[in-house]
Amino acid sequence: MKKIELLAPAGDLERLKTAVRYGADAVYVGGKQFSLRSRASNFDLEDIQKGVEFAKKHGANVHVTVNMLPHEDDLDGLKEYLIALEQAGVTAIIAASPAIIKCAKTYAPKLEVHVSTQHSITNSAAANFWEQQGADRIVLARELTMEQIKQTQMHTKLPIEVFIHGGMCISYSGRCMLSNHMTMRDANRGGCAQSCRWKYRLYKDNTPIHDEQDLFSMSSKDLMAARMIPDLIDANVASLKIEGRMKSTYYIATLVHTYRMLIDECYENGRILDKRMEWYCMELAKAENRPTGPGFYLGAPKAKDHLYGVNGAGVTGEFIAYVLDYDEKTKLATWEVRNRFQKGDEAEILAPHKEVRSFIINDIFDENRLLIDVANQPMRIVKVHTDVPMEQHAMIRKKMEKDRFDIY
Amino acid sequence: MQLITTPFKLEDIETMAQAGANAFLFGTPFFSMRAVAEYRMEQLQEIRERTKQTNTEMLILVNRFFTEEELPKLRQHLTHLKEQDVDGIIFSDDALLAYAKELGMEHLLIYQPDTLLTNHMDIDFYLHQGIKRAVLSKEITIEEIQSIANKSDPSRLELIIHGRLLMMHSKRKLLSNYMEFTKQNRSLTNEKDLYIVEDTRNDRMPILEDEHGTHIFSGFVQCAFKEIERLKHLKINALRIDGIFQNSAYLTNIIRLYHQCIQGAITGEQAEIMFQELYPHEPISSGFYYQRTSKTK
Repeated sequence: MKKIELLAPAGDLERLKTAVRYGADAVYVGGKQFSLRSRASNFDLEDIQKGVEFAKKHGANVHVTVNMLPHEDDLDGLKEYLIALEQAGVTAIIAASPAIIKCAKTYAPKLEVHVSTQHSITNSAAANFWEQQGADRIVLARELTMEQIKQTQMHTKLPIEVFIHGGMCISYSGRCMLSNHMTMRDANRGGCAQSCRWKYRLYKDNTPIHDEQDLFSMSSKDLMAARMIPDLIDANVASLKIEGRMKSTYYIATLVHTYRMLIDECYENGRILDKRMEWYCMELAKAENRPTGPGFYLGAPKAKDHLYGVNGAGVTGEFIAYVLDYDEKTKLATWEVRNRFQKGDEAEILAPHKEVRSFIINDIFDENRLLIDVANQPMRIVKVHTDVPMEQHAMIRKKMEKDRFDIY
Repeated sequence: MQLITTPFKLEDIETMAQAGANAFLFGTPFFSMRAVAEYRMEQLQEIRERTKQTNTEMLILVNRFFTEEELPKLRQHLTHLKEQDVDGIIFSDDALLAYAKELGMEHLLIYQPDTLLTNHMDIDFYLHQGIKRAVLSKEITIEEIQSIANKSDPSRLELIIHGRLLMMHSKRKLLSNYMEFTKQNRSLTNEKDLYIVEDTRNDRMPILEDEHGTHIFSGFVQCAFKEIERLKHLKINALRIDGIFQNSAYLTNIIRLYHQCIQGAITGEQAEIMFQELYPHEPISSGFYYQRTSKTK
C-alpha cells in the first residue's frame, strides 16, 4: 500500500525548501497566473522550476494551484502556461475550472489534475463524474465527517485529498461572494477580503439580538485534525493537506515536522498512544495559528469551534532564530535572529526529522565577536555558545507553555 | 424569452402565468435549499397538472450538496422526478450529473453552482454534458455576460435578474451557534426576517438558517429592467425572478412589469419608475452589471 502523502503549502521558494527539508512529500505553490491567494502567489515559472529541482532531489513533488475561476478576459495564455508547468516538471495542478482541467488534459497530459475543494465534492458520485472527465485526484470539501470521508473513499477509485490543518472558510469554499459584495474583491480570483471574520450586528426585523460586547461573526477556528490521522490512513485517503500559502517559514516547519513524525510513527507502530498524541497536539499548537478545532471531522461545528472575540492570529514571537551553522569544535552556533531573546532563555531546537530538544541559551556574540546581552535585531547574524549540537536549517524557538484552547 | 419565478402557493401558478411567467421553481423537503415554498412529493402531480394547464414549465430544486449516505435517496428522488415528467431540475452537486447520465435524464438538468460559472468555456463544458441549461454567476459584468452569450449558446443560458442574491452558504448553523455563545435561549431556524449589518456599513443583509446550514443574501435587490432590451438582443433565453423574502403580490407585480418590458409594451426605464412608485423603499441595484471586481486584496 502506498504511504499517505503529506502535502504542505509554500508561499515562496524559501518556504518550499523548508517544507521539503522538514518532511513534506509534496508541496503546493501558486503561480503568478490563474491562481488564488494573490499575495501568496509569488512563484514565477523560473521559481517553480527551481522548486521542482529542489523537491525532486529530495524525492518530493510540486503541485501548482491553477484554481482561479476565470472570467472572460482571464483565459488568455492558459494553454502556454500549462505547457510550461508540464515542462518544468510539475507533478500536478489543482484546478476548479473545467476549462482549465480540459485544457491541461489536452495540451499538458503529463500533468495530473487535482480537482480543487472549490468544487465542494462531498460524495463518490461527484468524484466519479470527475474521474470520467479525466481527473487524477479530488480534494474533498471540508464539510465532511470522518465517516463520510471513509465512505466516499470506499466508493471511488479516485485518490482523495483532505485538509488536516489550517484556516477554514466559513462557507463551502468557492461558493462565497461576501468579499465580492462587500469590497468588490473577487474571492474566486484571489481577492478574498475574509469579510466572514468581520463583526456584524444581528437583527430580527428591527430589533437587535446581538451582544454588544461580542458581535456576531462568522470566523472559524483553524482546523487541526492530528487525531484523525490514524483513521485517515486506514481509510486509504491519498493525501493530507495543510492549508496556508500565506503562512510563515516557522509555521510551515512546525506543522510539517510534527505531522511527518506523527505519520511515520503511525506506520511504524500501527497506532499512536494517547500520551504521544497529546504531545503532537501540543507541538502543533506552537505553530503561530489561530486557536484550532476539529472542523467537521467529528460532526457539525458548534459555538466553541468559532471565534467571536478575537480576530485572526496573534504573532507570539516565539520563533527566535534560524540556524545557519554549528561548529563542533568551538561549540558555537551561527544564528540569524528572528525575534528577541537573551542569555539564560530556555529554548528548543526544531530540526528536520529529529525529536525536539531543549537547551539554555548561553553566551551570545555579535558579528564582531563581542558579547551582547540581548539579540533583538531581526536578520542580524549572531553566534551562540551551546553544548547541544544543532543542524543547519534548524529553527530555534523560545520554550513556552501554551494553552490557547479556551480562546473564543 | 422565458420568465422563471418562485411561486409561494399553488394558486400563484395561474396568477403568475397570467402576469407573464413561463416557468416555476418548486422546492421539496430535504432536497431543496432556499426554496420559496416546499411541496410534498404527493403534491407534484397536482403541480404537473396546473403547470400543463397554464402551459408553463415545472422546475424542481435539487440544489443541496449530498453526502455519501444520502446518495441512495438522491438517486431514488431523481427516478421519481423523471416519472413525474418534470421539465427541469436545478442542481449544484456534480453527483446529479453522474446519476442523471445513468438514468438518461441529463437533458433535464439546470446547473446552478452560483459562483462557478464565470466564462463561456466552463459553461460550454457543462452544456456539452447534455444538460438543459446553465445559470450564470451573479457577480459578473454585463460585458462579460455579453461575451459569454456571444461565444456560448444563449438559448441555454439563464440569468437571475431580480431579487436578493445569495452571497454565501455555510453548512454550519451560524445563528444557533451564536445564540449558544451569547447564552440566548431561542431558535432562529427558518425565520425569514433576520438580517446582519457589518459594524462599519449600512447594508441590511438577510440571513437565514435552516436544516442545510446558513445562507446570507445581498444587501441590495438585484434589478434589471433597464437591461432587458440588451439581454433580449443577446438572445439569453431564461430570466429568473427570485421572490425569497417577498410575497405573492410583489412577485406578480414585477413579473408583469418584466413581461411588459419583454413584449416591448413599456421601456425598461418606464418599468423601473413604475416599480419604484410601487416599492419606494426597495433597495434596488444593478448589482455587478457595471461593477468589475478586483483580483487582488
